[in-house]
Amino acid sequence: MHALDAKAFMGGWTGPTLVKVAGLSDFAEGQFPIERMVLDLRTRARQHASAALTALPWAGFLVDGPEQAPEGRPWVALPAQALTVEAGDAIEVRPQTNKVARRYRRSGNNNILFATERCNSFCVMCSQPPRDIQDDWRVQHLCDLVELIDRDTSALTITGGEPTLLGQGLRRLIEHCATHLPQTHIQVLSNGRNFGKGIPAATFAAPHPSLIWAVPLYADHYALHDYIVQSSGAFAETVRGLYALEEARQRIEIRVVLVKPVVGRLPELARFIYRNFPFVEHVALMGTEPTGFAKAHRDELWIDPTDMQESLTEAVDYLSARDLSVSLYNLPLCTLPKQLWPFAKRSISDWKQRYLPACEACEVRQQCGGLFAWVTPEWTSRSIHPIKGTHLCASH
Amino acid sequence: MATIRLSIDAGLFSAEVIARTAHRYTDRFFVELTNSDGAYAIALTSKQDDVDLTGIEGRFRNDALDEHLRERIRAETTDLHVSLVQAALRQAAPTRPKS
Amino acid sequence: MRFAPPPAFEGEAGYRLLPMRFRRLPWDENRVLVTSLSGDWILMSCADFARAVDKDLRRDEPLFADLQARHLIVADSATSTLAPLLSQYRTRKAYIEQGPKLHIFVVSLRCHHTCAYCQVSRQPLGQSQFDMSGEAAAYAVERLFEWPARELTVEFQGGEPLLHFERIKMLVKAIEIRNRHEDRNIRFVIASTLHDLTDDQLSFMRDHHFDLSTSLDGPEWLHNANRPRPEKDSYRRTLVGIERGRKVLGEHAVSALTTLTRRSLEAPLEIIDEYRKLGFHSISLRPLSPYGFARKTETRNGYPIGDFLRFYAVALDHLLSVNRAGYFMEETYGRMLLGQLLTPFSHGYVDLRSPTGAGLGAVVYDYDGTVYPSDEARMLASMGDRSFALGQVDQPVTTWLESPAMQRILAAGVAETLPTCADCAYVPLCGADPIDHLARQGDTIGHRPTSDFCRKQMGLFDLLLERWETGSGSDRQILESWAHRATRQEAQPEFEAA
Repeated sequence: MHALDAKAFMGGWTGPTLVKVAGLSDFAEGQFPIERMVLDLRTRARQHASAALTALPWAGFLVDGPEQAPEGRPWVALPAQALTVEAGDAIEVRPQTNKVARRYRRSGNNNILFATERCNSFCVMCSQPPRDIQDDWRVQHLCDLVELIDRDTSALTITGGEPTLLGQGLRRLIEHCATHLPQTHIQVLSNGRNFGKGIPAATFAAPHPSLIWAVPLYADHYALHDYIVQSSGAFAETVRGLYALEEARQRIEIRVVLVKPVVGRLPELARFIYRNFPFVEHVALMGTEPTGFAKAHRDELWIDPTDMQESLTEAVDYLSARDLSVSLYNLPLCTLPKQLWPFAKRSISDWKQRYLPACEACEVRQQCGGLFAWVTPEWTSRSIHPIKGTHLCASH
Repeated sequence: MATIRLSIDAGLFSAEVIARTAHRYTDRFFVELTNSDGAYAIALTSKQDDVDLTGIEGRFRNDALDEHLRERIRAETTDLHVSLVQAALRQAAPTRPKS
Repeated sequence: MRFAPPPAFEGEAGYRLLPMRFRRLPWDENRVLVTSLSGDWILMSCADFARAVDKDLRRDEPLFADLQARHLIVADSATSTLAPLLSQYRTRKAYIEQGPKLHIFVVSLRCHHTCAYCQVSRQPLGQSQFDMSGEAAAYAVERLFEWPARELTVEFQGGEPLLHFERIKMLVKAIEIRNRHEDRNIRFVIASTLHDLTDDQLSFMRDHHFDLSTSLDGPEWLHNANRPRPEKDSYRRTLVGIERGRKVLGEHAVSALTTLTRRSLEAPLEIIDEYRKLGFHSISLRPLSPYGFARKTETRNGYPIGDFLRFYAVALDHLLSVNRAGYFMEETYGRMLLGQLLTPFSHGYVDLRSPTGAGLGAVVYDYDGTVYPSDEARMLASMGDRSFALGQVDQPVTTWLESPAMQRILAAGVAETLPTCADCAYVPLCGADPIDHLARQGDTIGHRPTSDFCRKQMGLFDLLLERWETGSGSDRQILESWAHRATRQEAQPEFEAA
């Protein structure tokens, strides 16, 4: 589950409730109905709440302790250090388990709409191992959440599992985003396989002002790709899906996770993308997240980014010379040759990111995406070192 | 106007392969082909005096091998070739402007 | 969860061949170029190729994956897809969609020059019966909008089109008025000597965003020798025209091309240096074609195609050194051929297409109201053979498409079906030109072993592929930058100047 959650204290809640945390300015702006907001009365919020204010029909109150809450009204308190929740965030209060989950973070750089735990692939490095359960309830849940998200949010990602398994539900969610968040760019992470099965892309792709499909492709031939996603026939379906998306005039990004077998044919994959999918808007080459299934297959999958440099440079040069936009994600700058720095993006979500002690002295730390919070020594490059005495190339 | 003659075992190649090979030489040569006693007899007569004749027999034999390879490829792929082109063009129907 | 190892995903044993063609490399007889249906390709040793055709490739060799990736073989059909091959084919042939984008209006045959190689059969200055009439022009504008293409390039040619500028103005205005209802994307070009340009002509062309294309054969001695005017100052006037054109319309709006006579073939470096001196970043090295006065003066000005290819190789090497020194300059035809080799995209040259570009990619509206499928067909008519006229400008477009001329062109217009072309490794990247073959060899289908058209294409493809393959890293990069520039220009139709 991508949303973070924590044990909490609460009282007066009758069922799971999705609410927006409101500071006074949120109340003043009136963008969200009061009944769907909790007023932030914690000491740190430093707002003086008059009786008239608290008398309004708030869904509840976010407090440090129950004594801060108005008599007889629902309240929730988070233990110190448990979970950072601020005004503008959306949380889900779950009385059955006494937990609070943060579903949206106003100050976050990568908010996720988690569509389903189901998937039709079983990638060897999957960071979100699938479960075959009935979770169509998420569609309504996400639609409710969308209504509590700031309209000026620049981007959201719909992911899973495989979002197209929601069928019409995915279309409904995208339409809901178009209605409630018309200025928010939506990225859907999908393997595209369902588009390649003769189901029209229109089933999934509602008209939306700024929507892009991010589709993983791991090889230029089926045997390697199908092995990586552990599903025979996946390559053919994804490839057909890419053409179906193109025909439906959808924007497309191709993603490649840089596990060892894939890196072995990375330049060939770059050529394959150019020759067969020159219409894609962007190619993302991504360092592996050391979580989920990846951990069980470290020996087959791990390759030190330092050892990728030649392949990466060849692939990046090839694509960018042909005007295909390419980015490197999840790769610390010290593991990359300097000429590739302009392509490296700070991609790890803030809440999952950390730096190592070695990074203290690094002059380019601000530009670097760092590492995943759960990185272990066996998933850490031997080349991590502080960069000194250099200036960063002009940004790409 | 010199003539080069060579003989190729008819069991190795089909007549079509020999004919296709010979056709490639019709820029510089007049070509005569006959078939008897289980062999193709090929006569190449240069059209002009300045035609370079070195290694022509060897080249012809190599070219025949290439044509033979082409014949095998054609045998396996011709039907697919036709259906692929049809499939591709069917979906590329021109659109009319909205005027 | 336990995962299945790679062998579990290999699928059924064995593989099938997909349509493929091959060519032994002239510069390395132990290797072949193998091309797919759609023009993707690979270079490999003859031995590997023989193994591939014999079905002897091993699953674990990189070549096995390489050939699948280029759609030359297909392994398990349940886990493979031919969708990319079809997509590549449609992408490369995208020029057949939408109908002709290049529309040439011959507003007058009159010209000041008396070039021996003139392909146009120009007429002397005073003969205004060789100007396009208002009636013919009005019909031509109607016909223009009967074609479906959303992007149209309207090119004014002659003779010297500036000599009948009033007709150009009238046509531009009529087209723009009509386009208010049509909303096409229209580009105007003029193919002109640029001599004696008036300020009025320049400001009109600036106001309508014209591109100017002119002839510059090389340094002064060469240009004047090739292009006589009574005043013997063609070069000087051309330079004045170029400068004024650049000043009023912008640097990017003026381009130049050469016509190569026998004299020109002796001066490849000088021609390129002249273009560099004048700040051009693009040069067209065009060999003579067998039309018009060029045919009549063939013995004096003409040359075997082998001489052109030798010239081009020297010119190419000089261009590479100019580029290596930091000055970008491409050769336009080479750039187009490199685009065919190195990119998956379609291109804008109407004369190297299959199906042919004649009538399908371009239409010519002659001064007298006759309509032709290409410039070459018009030139053939001026030499006495009018059999490729599609019709008259007052007839609907459908009549032209059903004409005997069009049928004759289409019957010989698909290179993949022509003898010898059908087996050629370059055919997915090349084209058919029935009218050229008729002019040179006497029939539209032609005889490839003796065809100069074929020799030129193959010679250039071989040369460019060899330079790319065996060249230094920087030469490769230069050639690739030409090819990718073609992509960025979005395959606009390419035009020829008088």
